[in-house]
Amino acid sequence: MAMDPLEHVLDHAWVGSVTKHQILLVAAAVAVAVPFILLARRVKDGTPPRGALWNFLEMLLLFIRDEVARPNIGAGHDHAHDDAQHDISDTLAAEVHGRAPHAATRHPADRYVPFLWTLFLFILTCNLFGMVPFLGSPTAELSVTLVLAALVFLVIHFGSIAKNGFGGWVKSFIPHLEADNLPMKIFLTVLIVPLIALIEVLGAFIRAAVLAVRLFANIFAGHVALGVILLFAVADVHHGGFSPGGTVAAVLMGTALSVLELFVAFLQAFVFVLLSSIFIGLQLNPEH
Amino acid sequence: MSRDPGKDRRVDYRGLALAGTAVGEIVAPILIGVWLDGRYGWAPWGLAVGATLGFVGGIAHLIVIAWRENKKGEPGA
Repeated sequence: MAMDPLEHVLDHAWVGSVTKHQILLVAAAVAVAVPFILLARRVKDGTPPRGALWNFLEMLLLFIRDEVARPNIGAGHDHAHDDAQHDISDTLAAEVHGRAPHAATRHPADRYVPFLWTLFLFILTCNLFGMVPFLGSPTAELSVTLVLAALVFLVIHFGSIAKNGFGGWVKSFIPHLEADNLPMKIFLTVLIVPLIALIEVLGAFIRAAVLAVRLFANIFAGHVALGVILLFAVADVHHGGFSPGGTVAAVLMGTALSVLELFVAFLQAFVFVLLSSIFIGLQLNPEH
Repeated sequence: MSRDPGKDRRVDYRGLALAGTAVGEIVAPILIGVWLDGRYGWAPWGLAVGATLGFVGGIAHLIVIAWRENKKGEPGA
């Protein structure tokens, strides 16, 4: 057992030159895609959910759609849709079969719901892999979370161009400031508006970076902390100085921290999707 | 927290997201300026421009965001 906690968190070659995280990423993709596509095909005709897994899936996905995507992406001022309760099969059917559900029941946010679902389940699976002995969390690596955030960045901006047009997208970066008198108007237009526009453009990248760093830092730090505490349990064997009581305490703390990590795995997947949907909503409905 | 006011919760979460971004928008230009100073030897101009952009632009953007959110909260808005 390596005595450096980082060795248990950082990526390393597993099969030939293919690394552990690369294999786990593919495994996570398969673990998400196979059962959920199968379940989606069963749900699509509106059959009521049966069985624990099916109910759990429906609860998770409905939560993301109704509590995260729809309120945050929304349709600007029009919240009439927000209260509408629809069957999950409506959204699923549209995505599995590519047919549009009844126009009146389709919420504007539903376009992004499949992306957010995939994102949530994939990140959750990656996070949960870290709870399995000898595996690890691919999301504890910045390059993985950066790619996920880059995908969100593309969805935000291509979604905005698709909805508001290229001109509308460009205009969303330029603030509209009102002034009472002419000198103030000149001051705002010449100095402040370009500065804010520049910051808005920078902010678009910062949002993606914040998403990536938040997920990476939470998962990475949690695993390093867990690694450090668990290594206390075996430290006496290697270096002496630790009493059996210390070992017991380290195991107990490690167990408690593992439970916390289990919570963090769900929480960070949720936070990633929540912030993604807020950022999508902000860009789709600018300045209203 | 009552069940219905989904809009209240939404404002809370949006505030969280906006706050995180606003801090980044003030700090990031300064850090980019310092990095440019080190990379291209532009000292002290990278820091000067970055700090100006971050401070003036970041704070101005913060004010604009706060003003927009405030306007949204007004009755009849």
